[in-house]
Amino acid sequence: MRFSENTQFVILVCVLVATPFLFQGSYLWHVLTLLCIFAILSYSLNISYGYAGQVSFGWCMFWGIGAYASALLALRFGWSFWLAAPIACCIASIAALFTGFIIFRATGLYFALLHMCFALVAYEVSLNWVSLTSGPMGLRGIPIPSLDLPILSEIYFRPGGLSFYYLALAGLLLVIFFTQRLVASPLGRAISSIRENPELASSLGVNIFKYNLTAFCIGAFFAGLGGVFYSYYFRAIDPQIMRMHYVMAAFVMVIIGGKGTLYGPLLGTAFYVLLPEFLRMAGTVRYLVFGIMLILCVIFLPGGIWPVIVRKYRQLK
Amino acid sequence: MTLLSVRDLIKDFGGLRSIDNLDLSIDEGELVGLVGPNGAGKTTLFNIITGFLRPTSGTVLWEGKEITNLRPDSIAKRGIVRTFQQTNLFSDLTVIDNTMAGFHIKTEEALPMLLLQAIFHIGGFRKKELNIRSQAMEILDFLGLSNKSDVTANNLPHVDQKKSELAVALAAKPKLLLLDEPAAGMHPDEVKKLTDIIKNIQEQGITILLVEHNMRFVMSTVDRMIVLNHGSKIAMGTPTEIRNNEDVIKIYLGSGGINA
Repeated sequence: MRFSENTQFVILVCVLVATPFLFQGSYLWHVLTLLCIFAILSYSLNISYGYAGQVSFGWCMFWGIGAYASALLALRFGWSFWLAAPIACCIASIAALFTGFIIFRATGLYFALLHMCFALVAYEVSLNWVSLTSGPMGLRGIPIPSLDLPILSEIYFRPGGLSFYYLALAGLLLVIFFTQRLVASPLGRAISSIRENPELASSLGVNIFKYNLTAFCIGAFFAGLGGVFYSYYFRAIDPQIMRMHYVMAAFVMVIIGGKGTLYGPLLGTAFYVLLPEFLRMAGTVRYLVFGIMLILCVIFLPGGIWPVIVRKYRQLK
Repeated sequence: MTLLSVRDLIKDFGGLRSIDNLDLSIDEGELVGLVGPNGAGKTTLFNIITGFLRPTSGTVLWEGKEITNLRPDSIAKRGIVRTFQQTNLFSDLTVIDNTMAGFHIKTEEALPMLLLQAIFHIGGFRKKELNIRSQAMEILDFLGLSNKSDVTANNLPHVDQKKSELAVALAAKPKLLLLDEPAAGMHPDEVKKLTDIIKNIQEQGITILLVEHNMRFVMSTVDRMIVLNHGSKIAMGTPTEIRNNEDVIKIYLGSGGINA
């Protein structure tokens, strides 16, 4: 059976919607929600790194900005989740616009280092601009999203509950959907051409700077969304969210899962989030395992695990 | 009408002067061959004209306007399209997809529209795509590649890769086509076919400037030749004139000769 892209997506939706009912207890829901939040981060990096080929070593700054922006809008201005979330994503995108405007003048290693520098600056700002971000103490008491429906009573999306999982899942499915749309559109093709062969793309009229910046900002928007969900789930954030740890996590998930593919990031996130849970790995062991997996993938499976699965499936037919 | 004009062009790479006070011009409708020994500055000239390199000094004029330090994509949008010395294609895409990529210049929309298209899939781009696909197939037919349209680029034999590059360049609807060694590595029969194809392209109204080492090919294809050596023009004229030019004979003596 050849699954069309739409069928694949519907199957995915059904599976992810039904999964919480497989096992008893809310621990699974917690893990699944984390899966969704980190998958959004992976998908966002997939746009910048997987499709546009940008080595965005400072990627965590956009997720951190999304988290802080939504938290501040909720705590300082009392905005609801439904308003704070999209605005926070836009703020992350705008940060990407300013950052990218500067760093895309460089390429390759220099681009990566510059981006990392910007991320370190973002971290320092969140640590030291105490009047804005409460410094190392961070922000806490982020409210619970709620929805006031006319007929039904108010729904609260409590972190750890099934409703929050479905909220995060909706966010993830939206991101996957838009990734699919983007890739199939003329914009997506122009962006991929830059990754494939920038010299040729340029000679065919593709404005490398413009399209790089566009992909960067789109990715940052989704990274911001991941940050928003993170801040609403844990209801407290601190400058640690801006640390390189999350960049490395994102790269591990995207590379192992399959960069530049539609379901690779989800697979990679599943590995990253679920494997330690199922194997009951302690913190340091987890890093060792993922470090080794990453090295093995880069050497033997540069396209990640997802393309291998697709190939095996086709061979079996 | 002069399309392209290069004036007092100088390009230094550190202490090495690659282009030395070069003047040349190409008129509309011409088919010009640029020849010279290795290191004469031919590809450097192409790179400067198309914006991949900045000259040390001098100007490049296109349709009377200066294009000297513009980006490659701006220059491409003005109608100057090139091929590369080393085969340059999107290696994981099929021949038809590669060719369709060439249509970007003429079909690119403004950024807001692109974003809306990406999100909502509006703007009828699917229909445009079918249109582009049929235009791409016409180009492939013209080049004799239509039966290989679904082959992945890096699975093609060398000669078909060269032809695919040409297809991509033609898709960009150039006014001036710069071909960098289009006959490289080709079998003599294929080279003869290439002559016909290039002359046909000229008949379609496209001005062509090509760089080649294969002298027999150049002399049987072009209207006019320019010979470069050490970055400056040492001779210019019809193939017959060049064949009998003493300076040219001198620089080629021992390197295969003009009558190869």
